[in-house]
Amino acid sequence: MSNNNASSNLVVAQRVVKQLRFEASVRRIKVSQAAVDLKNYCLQNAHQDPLLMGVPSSDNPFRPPKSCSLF
Amino acid sequence: MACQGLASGETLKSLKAESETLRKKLEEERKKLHDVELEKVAEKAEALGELNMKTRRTLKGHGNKVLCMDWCKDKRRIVSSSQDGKVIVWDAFTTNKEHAVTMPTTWVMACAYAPSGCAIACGGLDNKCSVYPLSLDKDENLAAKKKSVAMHTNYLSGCTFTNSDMQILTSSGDGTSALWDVESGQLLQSFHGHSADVLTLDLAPSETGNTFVSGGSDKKANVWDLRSGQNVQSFDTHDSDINCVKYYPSGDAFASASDDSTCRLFDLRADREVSIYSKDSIIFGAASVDFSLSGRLLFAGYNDYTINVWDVLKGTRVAILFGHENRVSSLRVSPDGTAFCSGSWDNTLRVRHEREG
Repeated sequence: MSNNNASSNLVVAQRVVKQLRFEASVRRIKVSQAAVDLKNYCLQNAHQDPLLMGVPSSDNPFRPPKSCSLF
Repeated sequence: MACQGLASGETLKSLKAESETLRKKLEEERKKLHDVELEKVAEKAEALGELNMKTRRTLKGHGNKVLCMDWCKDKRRIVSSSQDGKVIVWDAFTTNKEHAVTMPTTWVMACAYAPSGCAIACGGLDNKCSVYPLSLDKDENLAAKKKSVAMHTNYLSGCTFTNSDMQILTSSGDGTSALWDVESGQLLQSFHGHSADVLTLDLAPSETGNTFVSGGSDKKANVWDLRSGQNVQSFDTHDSDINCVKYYPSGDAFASASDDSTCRLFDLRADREVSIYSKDSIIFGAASVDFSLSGRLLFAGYNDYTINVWDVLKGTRVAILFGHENRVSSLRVSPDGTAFCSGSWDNTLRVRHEREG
């Protein structure tokens, strides 16, 4: 029983080390670079963002429904 | 019981020591690259004007808490699921209910619209994800054509179709995520690494390749390679369960919402948290987040019944939206970015948009 515990602990520890080795090898860039890219993406796409710019009532499919009068 | 491939000299002690060293190294590497804050870089960006968001549609019809919702690619239909087992497909323009399914389970915590608009997927306490083809014939019994696709050993917390109707990605309380073939129900890949329930997942925008991010009760957000099953990146700065994760529109970052009452932004190329959206006055957990089309706005639904709108770049709150009479459980921006829908424990869904001028 203790043998099984010991070997499963070992397997878990091996897996953890393997995963950490992988994560340590990931290539990273500086936050300054990443932040500039995020900012540029936002600014470049801002004018196409309807929730930011607003939608003119005439184009808006969700505008309050107008009632119809029948004569 | 044989141990595989122990390199010479490897013992439990040496492995533990190595993992300590690796963890420290990772921390140092990440720190070295942390040369500036996102808010500083965004200082020169123009401040956002006052927002004028109004509720345009209220979808009433669920008899119990709305737990999840998703938009159809046609930008007008919405699928929502509820605690009482009902799944409803709505036309959000007219507020008409187009389809209704009663699941053989309560707490349908996940639902998703297929890319074609011809099917929906849902599941919850039944531990499964089922796909229902949507019939044009209103009288047809949808339950008759139901297909069981995913089988987990605990509740289904999230599901999404990948780029086609053919594959579904699921997350579960059993601590795993999995990729399934819809037609055969076959398990294509499973993703192990969370040490507790997986509560949420989001697929990367198709241009950025084959990855997805998941968040769990273990306070971790993990990024995975869909093909290999490999956990490629991991983030553990939250102080409590992560209830929702969503990719930034460019695919280079993702946001998270947590029971620790904060939302955070993680940049994938810098491999770290780059912003935190919080206030001392916000003490209730955040349940759901989504970005506006440009990624400038982050909408977040909270357990205190409100929706906070954050300036992603500057880290400030730009609006607080009231209206729901109970927790906001689910929140999604429409596919063309014109509106966003929130689902709540008050049994309703609300569609809001920004008025021009």
